Amino acid sequence: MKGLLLKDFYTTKANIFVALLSCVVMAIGLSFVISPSVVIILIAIPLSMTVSSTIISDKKNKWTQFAVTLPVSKKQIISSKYIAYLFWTIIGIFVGTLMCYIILKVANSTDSNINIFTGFSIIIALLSGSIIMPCNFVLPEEKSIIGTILAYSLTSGILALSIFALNQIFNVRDNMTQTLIICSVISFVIFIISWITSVKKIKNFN
Amino acid sequence: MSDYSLKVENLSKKFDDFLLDKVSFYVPKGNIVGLIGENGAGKSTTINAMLDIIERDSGNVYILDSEKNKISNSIREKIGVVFDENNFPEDLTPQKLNNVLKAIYFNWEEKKFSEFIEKFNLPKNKKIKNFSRGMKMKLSISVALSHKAELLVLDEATSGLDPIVRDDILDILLDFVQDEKNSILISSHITSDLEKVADYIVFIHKGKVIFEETKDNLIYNYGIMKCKTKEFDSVDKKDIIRFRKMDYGYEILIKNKNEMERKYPNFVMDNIKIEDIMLMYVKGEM
Repeated sequence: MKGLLLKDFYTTKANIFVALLSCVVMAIGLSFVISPSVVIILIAIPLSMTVSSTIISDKKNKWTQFAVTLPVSKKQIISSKYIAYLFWTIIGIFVGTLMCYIILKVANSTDSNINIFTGFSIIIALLSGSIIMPCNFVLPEEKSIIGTILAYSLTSGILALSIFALNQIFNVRDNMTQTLIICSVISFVIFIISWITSVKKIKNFN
Repeated sequence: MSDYSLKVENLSKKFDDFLLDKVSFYVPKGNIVGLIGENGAGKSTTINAMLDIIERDSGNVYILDSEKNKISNSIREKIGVVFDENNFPEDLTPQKLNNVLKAIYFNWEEKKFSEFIEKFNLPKNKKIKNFSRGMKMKLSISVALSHKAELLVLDEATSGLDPIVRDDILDILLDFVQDEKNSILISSHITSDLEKVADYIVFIHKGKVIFEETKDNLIYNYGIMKCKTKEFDSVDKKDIIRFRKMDYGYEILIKNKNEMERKYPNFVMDNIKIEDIMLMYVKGEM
């Protein structure tokens, strides 16, 4: 498992640096127009996406086929991707929040939306990841874009549905923190279900 | 302790347009077994199904001392696999690949890997994407031989390489089986390579094993008998394995060359290469 994570770290390192740099520049620019907290989403989502894209590149360069012959189980091969995804999501949220505080400090300003954007970052990253990851494992490389489109459409749908359902119980606007916590828990549960299902169901790696 | 490194029994896998049909063969310890067949015959499917890369429909596989169909991680430690193209992330360097595999293989031999890298003149810190095909193949072989593997599985590993690199690789393979507990299964359609190194030949055609013989038996016992068109009818049909109609007459694939020479003294009897046998089976009639 450690070797698989190290391989992903090596292969994503260059991409992550470029993604991080461009996201930071874009986020700083946007933060003058809208809330500085937006940098959290703008950094966390692309960072986690770099992991799901390694599933495609592994297929392209036939690493997946080779990995099956290594002394690691298929379960470990799949789990390493989910662990890396969680890791980079957390790093993304951390870096994003840090950037947000730096911007606020420089601008000598305050922002009450930090919790909201942190919550949305977690929800969007986990929900989209739970759909993109199995899609990228199962679909051929040329159709991987379908997984991405599906992931973000379903993420929006699930999020809207959850908020609608919660709004029937309490006023979401007045209880934003509770809403985000509940949605984050739902997202996390869906992510874990996706992880377990992928480990159990994905058998063919070629 | 079994006397084989690999035993495949009735391995089957069905695709929409192809059937791997009850493939059976075995690889004795200390030997090199060549898996031959034209492109699309089922060689790679056999290897992929055997190694669990694709799910098999039925059949049993025993690798080294494993239980039936159970390739545990400790068994995988002892299997070195080389595919027909690069399988490593192209952004890695041999040095980084070493770090990755060191964390994966319990028996990873860093020193041996470095020795191979030096022997093959591979740059340690150059990205794999900048390697030539020959260099990539040498890197794959270095990996396969650097974790105390006892069974090497090579899938078309020599195709597309120049004769010098191929010869280097074949020498390494021969060296590997000097240790009698080691064995190799090598699939190739370059039969001349297998003539140099293989002890046994397994011929797959349209998803079925046509024969499994020792190389010496194929080369010394099989032959091509040539006769004119009018003489063809006089040949006992039991003696014909395959035949081809040529411009000058018939070419007949026969077994028991010496006996046939005595039985048909007026016919021309040619020695045979593995490639000829393959051609006769694929293109000949029965």
